[in-house]
Amino acid sequence: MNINDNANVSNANADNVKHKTHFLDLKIPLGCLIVFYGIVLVVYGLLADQAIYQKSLNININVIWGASMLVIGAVLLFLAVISSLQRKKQALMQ
Amino acid sequence: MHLNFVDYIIIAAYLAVTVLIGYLLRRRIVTSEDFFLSGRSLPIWITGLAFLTANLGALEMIGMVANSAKYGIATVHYYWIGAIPAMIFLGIFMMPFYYGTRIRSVPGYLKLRYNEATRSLNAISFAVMTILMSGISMYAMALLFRMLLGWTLTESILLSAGIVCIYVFWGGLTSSIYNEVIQFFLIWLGLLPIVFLGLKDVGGFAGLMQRVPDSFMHLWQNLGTSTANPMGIEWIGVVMGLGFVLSFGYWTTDFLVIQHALASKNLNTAQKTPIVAAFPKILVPIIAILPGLIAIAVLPEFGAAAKQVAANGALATSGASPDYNSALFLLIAHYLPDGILGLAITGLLASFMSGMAGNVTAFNTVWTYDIYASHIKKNMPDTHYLRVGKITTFVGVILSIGTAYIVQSFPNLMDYMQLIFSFFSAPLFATFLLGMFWRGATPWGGFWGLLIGISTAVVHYILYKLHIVHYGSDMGANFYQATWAWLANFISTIIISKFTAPKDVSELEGLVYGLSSKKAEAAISFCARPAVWGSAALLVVVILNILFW
Repeated sequence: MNINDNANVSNANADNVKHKTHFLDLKIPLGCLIVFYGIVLVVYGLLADQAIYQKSLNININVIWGASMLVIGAVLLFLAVISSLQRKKQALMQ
Repeated sequence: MHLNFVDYIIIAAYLAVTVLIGYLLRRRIVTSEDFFLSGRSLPIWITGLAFLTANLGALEMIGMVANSAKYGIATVHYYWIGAIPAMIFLGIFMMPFYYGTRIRSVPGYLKLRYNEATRSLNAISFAVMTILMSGISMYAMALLFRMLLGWTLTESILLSAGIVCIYVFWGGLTSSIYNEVIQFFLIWLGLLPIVFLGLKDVGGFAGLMQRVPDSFMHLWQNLGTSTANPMGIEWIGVVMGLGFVLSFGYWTTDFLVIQHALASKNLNTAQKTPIVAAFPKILVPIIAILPGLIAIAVLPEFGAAAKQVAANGALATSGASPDYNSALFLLIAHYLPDGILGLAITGLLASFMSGMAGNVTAFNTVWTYDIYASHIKKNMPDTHYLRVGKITTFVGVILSIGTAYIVQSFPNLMDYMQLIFSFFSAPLFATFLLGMFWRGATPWGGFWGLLIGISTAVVHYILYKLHIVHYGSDMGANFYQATWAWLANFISTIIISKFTAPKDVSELEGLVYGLSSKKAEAAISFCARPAVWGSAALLVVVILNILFW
């Protein structure tokens, strides 16, 4: 288990390993989670009792923030789609 | 504070996603390098954000808000002085030695550059330190659950420990890193609303300046003497102790942090990782420091304490001092209705869990490679070490649970953390600095220097606790302790190196500045160079320090 073995192992498996661990594109679960939160907050913000917003200076912070999160989540998912198209293009070119 | 079903849905969704990611990764973890170093395959946006977030755990959230409620805006020094320069230095100057040598851990470098004794000393002290740190994360989370749900320490510790254990067991460092990136998003999404609402409430930053005592709102103006500012420390303590020794000691040698960069897919990515992380780091004070100031402006007990400190100096003791660690929770309860409340709680939960996970993966790696594989069972096939790593996940989590109970005896989490760092990180930094930039550092010089450095910190601590030496505050004592420990290591390493046998120059190839084959950095365009971005970050920091003088 000396350092030279380490270096050889890394180089030899580099290509296979790269594809394996990077294959899970984090933008997808992350984007989905944020979109989900956005939906939950907007729906709750519209339907629930409005009196709770006294704390937040009478601003319906759930709806506003929920809507922002929908946008952020959508952007992430969009980027994930682009990455996946790029990956397919690279795979075809090889 | 009362959570309703919407809040619980939000929390549950997050927990489900972390476990899901671990589950999706489990088949892909085949070699020990997959488990401990993500197979060295991750892209820059992930390593950069995770690098930043690894350090954005329990400590930051509770501790920094507590500190800014107690000491004022000068707490920002932990970021702009206490992190950015060190991060830049790491990326530009030290990463080539860490990544280029294909070492698997920070102690691994010490074995190559110095000797096995030095590596083992570092490995053992790091293992201890990282488990203590993991305990802080657990404890802080237990505080959160107790305040919200009335859960006992044990119940909340077991829940969080259980989940972290599962996803680290399945996915190793990759799980840890992916969850940190998720945490990055959640912590901003969860805590920004408080900042927006708080600033709106007090009338913007100008309104904040009116409501908070003046000595709490300046970065450098009052640091001439230790009595003139709430921190009880003068500028040289900040610059040398925090800015140089503690900050560089942490950012350039702490394996939890370095491990994230080692997971990069190539050297350029590894170099840019801390630099990419530096930019959002500059902004973190928005959610870590501003809330503390808002707490002073808006919550009566903190405002009263601040006025007293401003009038009587840093060690004013008349009247019970407020529980600063609860400042953030109180602000959350003050401003956030259900729904977004769940999001804030999830952000905090995420930061505690990733703090723990980061420490467990670092402990795992150092134990398996630097202690187990080097001393206990050498030359076994790789699958054996992978199994050992997985089992150590459980052991690490259990030990962390134990240290969580130790944390209870320290009222200020930040001071406790800095104390640990002054023992272990600060002296270590001298060993690395000399090792990487001075050929003359010899193996035994390195070992004895490190041992002397750590001992100096211990002796200094004893002297301080026995009131033989005095400082303006605990924080000041930590800063000076770190400086003395570093200095002792630095000087003794140089002296002892003069009297002991050095390594052959051929053995130092690629390990020391000036002895590496210069790879073509000219091939990278100007805009992609780490040095360019690093300088930009430093420039921003200088400007900010002037603005908030």
